[in-house]
Amino acid sequence: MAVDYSMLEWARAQFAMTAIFHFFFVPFTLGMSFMVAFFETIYVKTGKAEWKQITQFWQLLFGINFAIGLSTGIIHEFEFGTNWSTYSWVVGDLFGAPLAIEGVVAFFMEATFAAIAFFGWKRVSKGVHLTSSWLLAAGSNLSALWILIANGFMQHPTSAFYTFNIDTARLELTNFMNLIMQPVAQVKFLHVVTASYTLAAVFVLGVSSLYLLKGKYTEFAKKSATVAASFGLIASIAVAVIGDDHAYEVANTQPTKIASLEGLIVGEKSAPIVAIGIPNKVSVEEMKNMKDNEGSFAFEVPLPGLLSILGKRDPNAFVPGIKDLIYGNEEYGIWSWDRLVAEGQRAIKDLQAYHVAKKAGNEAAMKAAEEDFHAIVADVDGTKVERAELMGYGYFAELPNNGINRAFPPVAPAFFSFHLMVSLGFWFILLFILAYVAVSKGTYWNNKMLQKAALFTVPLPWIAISFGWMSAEIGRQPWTVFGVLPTFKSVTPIDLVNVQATFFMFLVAFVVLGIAELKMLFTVVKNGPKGAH
Amino acid sequence: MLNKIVLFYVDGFKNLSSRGKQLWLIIIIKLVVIFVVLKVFFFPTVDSVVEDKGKKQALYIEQLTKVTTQKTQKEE
Repeated sequence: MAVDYSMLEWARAQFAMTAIFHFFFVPFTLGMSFMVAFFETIYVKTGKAEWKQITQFWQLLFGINFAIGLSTGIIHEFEFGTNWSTYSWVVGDLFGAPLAIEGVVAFFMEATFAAIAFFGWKRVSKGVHLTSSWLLAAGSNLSALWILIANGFMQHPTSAFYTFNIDTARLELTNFMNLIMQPVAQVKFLHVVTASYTLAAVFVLGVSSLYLLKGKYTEFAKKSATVAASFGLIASIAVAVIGDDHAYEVANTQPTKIASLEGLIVGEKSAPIVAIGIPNKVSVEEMKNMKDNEGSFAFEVPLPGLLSILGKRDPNAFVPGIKDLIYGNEEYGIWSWDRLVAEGQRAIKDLQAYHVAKKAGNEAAMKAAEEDFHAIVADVDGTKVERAELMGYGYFAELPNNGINRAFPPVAPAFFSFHLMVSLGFWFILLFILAYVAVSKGTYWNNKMLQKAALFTVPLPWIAISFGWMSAEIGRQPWTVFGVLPTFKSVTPIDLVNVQATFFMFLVAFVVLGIAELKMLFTVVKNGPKGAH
Repeated sequence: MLNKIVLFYVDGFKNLSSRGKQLWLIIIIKLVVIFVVLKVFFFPTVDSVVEDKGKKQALYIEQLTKVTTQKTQKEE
């Protein structure tokens, strides 16, 4: 079967659109649930009615987002079954475990504590209500943990927690704790939740600034902005610190991703981070003759050594570029793409031989194929790599020239999405430093310029988070499960028209939900805290 | 105890504000669209088409062991 790229690209576009729209709601829920719990804690501690009013106002905005965003993520699961059936077959047992836990945890924790948080103001004690608000925040954030464990597995699958069952052709979970504790998933989770806290803090600071600019509800706005400035300062710095750890993990587990995010074509010692730049399109044939990175950017402002520090924690360390990862680099023990494809093809032949032998009832041949399939072929820093783990590379033999043109992510989208996310992240830190200092000195209340800056920043965290996901998912290409299953092998061979039709249905549905959400949020903000119940 | 919990929810829904009612309406319409319209009519899974587990396994093994070198127009 030839690779049908039009079906593949539509299925990818549909999944990306669903994810981006779903993530319009998620970070607001994750961050606002904690902000509401903070406001309510102050109310319970002080007993002052104005803090109750503040809590209820932000809780209402949280509730609107929570209700409208509810279940939008479930559409991904439909897409897995219909568009990505080979993926679902191969990884379903492993990927399904964290998703199932997420479903159960989200349903029970959120259904129980959301009900108390929204219905319980007059029906339960202050202590029970406050506890429910905190547990609702914890439950929402725990849901994110399970999703990011599943995503972490897709970014860096290792034999520490799975094995490929040659008989069923499926990945099987071998160590649940290792799956949960995988460093890639842990840093990813912390990066996402702290980004969500930043988003919520920007939202509260921005709306409070709007009231200050209009001279309305000023006492309410001052109190809300004070909490938002403190929370946002801690959260935005945490995003950067954890983001640094995240980049370190990526550099050591997905070298093609970090090379594409930074536009590094030829590997080098003291590799730079390009603070600002426009990467050139460089073909694999051109890369072959490149001795250094001359010509890889049309324009660049490099910061020497920073990528080596980021990726290897050593300013002089070697960071492999895309050329090294395609053509190999003996000095640093990097296999060429062709060698990986050859090992992968052998694993596919083992899988084939096993099932031919199984049909024939030839147990000796089955055993031989299985042994070759699971043979150790490499030792990467003490971690043994089985041939089965390289099977995914074998499928690239379907493509011309072993699919070498598709062996790495597209550089320009990866580079720009990553750099725009980082730039916005630094802007949030600066904004919160200025806001925190001004709030502490009491000058924020008259600083119109800073208030306007906070107000116009409100949509930016959503954009930054979308760029973050784009760099993570584009950067993982050409894989759905890095090194194990190529994206083009993961799709279901169905009619293109099915995917196109559902793509536009989702687009309409999400636009309608988005408009409903924005309309309700704007109405509540416009009516102010007095109308919030 | 169970009675109290049920009453808590019943009471909560009875005293919903107009905005609360609007939100529940959105939730219900959305769930019907997702689980009835989309799931039933637009998202048949391979699981629902090929029910026999053995056949399904054979289908995917065939898919995973087949590596052709046929080129697509785009690649050529």
